[in-house]
Amino acid sequence: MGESPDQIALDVRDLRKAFGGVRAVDGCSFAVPQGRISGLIGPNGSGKTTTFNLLTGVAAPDGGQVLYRGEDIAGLKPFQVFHKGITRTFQITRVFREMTVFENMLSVTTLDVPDRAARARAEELLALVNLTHLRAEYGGRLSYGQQKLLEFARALMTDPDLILLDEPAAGVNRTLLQHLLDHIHRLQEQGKTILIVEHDMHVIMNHCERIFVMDGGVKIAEGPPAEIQRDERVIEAYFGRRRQR
Amino acid sequence: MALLELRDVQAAYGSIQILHGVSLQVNPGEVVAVIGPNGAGKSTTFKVIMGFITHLGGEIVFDGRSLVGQRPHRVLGLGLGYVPQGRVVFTQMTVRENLEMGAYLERDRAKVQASMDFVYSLFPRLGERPRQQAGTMSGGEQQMLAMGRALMMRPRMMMLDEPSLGLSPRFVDEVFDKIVELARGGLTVMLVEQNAARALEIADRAYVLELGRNRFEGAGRDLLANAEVRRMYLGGEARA
Repeated sequence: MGESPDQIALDVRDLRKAFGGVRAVDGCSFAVPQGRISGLIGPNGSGKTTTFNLLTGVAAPDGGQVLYRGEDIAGLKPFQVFHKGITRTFQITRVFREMTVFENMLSVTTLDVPDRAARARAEELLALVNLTHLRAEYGGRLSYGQQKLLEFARALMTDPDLILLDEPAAGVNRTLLQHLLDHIHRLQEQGKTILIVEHDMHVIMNHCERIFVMDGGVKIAEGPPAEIQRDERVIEAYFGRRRQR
Repeated sequence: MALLELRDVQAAYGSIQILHGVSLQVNPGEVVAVIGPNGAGKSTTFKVIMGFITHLGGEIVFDGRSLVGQRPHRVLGLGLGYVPQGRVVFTQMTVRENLEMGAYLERDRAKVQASMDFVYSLFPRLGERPRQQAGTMSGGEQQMLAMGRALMMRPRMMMLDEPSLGLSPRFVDEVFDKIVELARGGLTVMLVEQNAARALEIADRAYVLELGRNRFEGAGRDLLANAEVRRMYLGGEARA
């Protein structure tokens, strides 16, 4: 391929999942490079979120492998995947509605009594996403955008090595989004691997080094942003003709 | 005279006050954008206008009538349509059934059919598959269906809460094209968007809310060019 031989963080091989007769993920393979920010894009309904669900144990694959550091984690339960050092956020947010914002943050620690370090980290991350003033508010009382931000902050509580973000930009103010992206780059500098599902092309094209494109449950293209933007199949399936500049 | 006017509106979810004094005007035929940080009260503004949440104070006047204390179906009946955030469709119902639900206040079958024809001409994709179950449609199609359903009462004004949320780029283009098309046809539009730069491009005027109050207002183009607005709300970067 003529590129530097990146280490692979997550090697997805021939992943399959059908719901009834609908083959949502239909033999999808891609390799997420270690220590980089990668993007997963595709039309609505192309199988991106299902793929995330298969990678994180939220759904069990019908076939295929998910190799994380050489170990097949396909079919593990969500908490088992979590304990491997993988966290994610959801497109449709999953905050605990009847816990406060601060309790939501502490809910992911494995400690019975969250220690001072965990509390300090929670405060720090809430400040990052501009939610400090709502720390005592119930999760269910937050707006959609604020719930997205809470999930983002909560996903970073446990210092994961692989972070999967499902539409982090959706419903988030663009200036705040810029801060989140700066933070994502800091995480990358610390050696974390990040995979982002996103429709916001500013995020994908300016912040991801490698992009995977799905359509109809399979990967139809892969490459750096400049290459993906010129790819005829991607333009046809995803960008639409008007996007060509 | 403004078609919709809010004067110093205060509103709450239960005991939590979100709006502390929002004032805005929408004139007939205008496209007005409402932007601002998360938690600014943008969606809340729409909900208090529609009568979904507790109104604490201030005036809300639509077409010369006060909406304060009105139930949502009454507001709808007065000609104010609403498309909530997040492509809310009846997933188990067909396209046609969803549209019929949008016209549930209309007893005249001929009018319902005429509205349906109008929606199908605006969104041909819906017209091609009236029997498809809404839950099996793509996100972009569901957003069009949600818009179509709000149009079934043939409102004079429509409020759209984040119409581009979670849509792929080509559908974002399509949705914004349709909003412009509807506006050209005479529909008055007010929309909330986090894709604020995009909303300002099509807006005649816009309001910036912050912490439940007005912060800026002006022509869409002017706000788009305003350095402080760009830095605080649009992510700072110049749009390609």
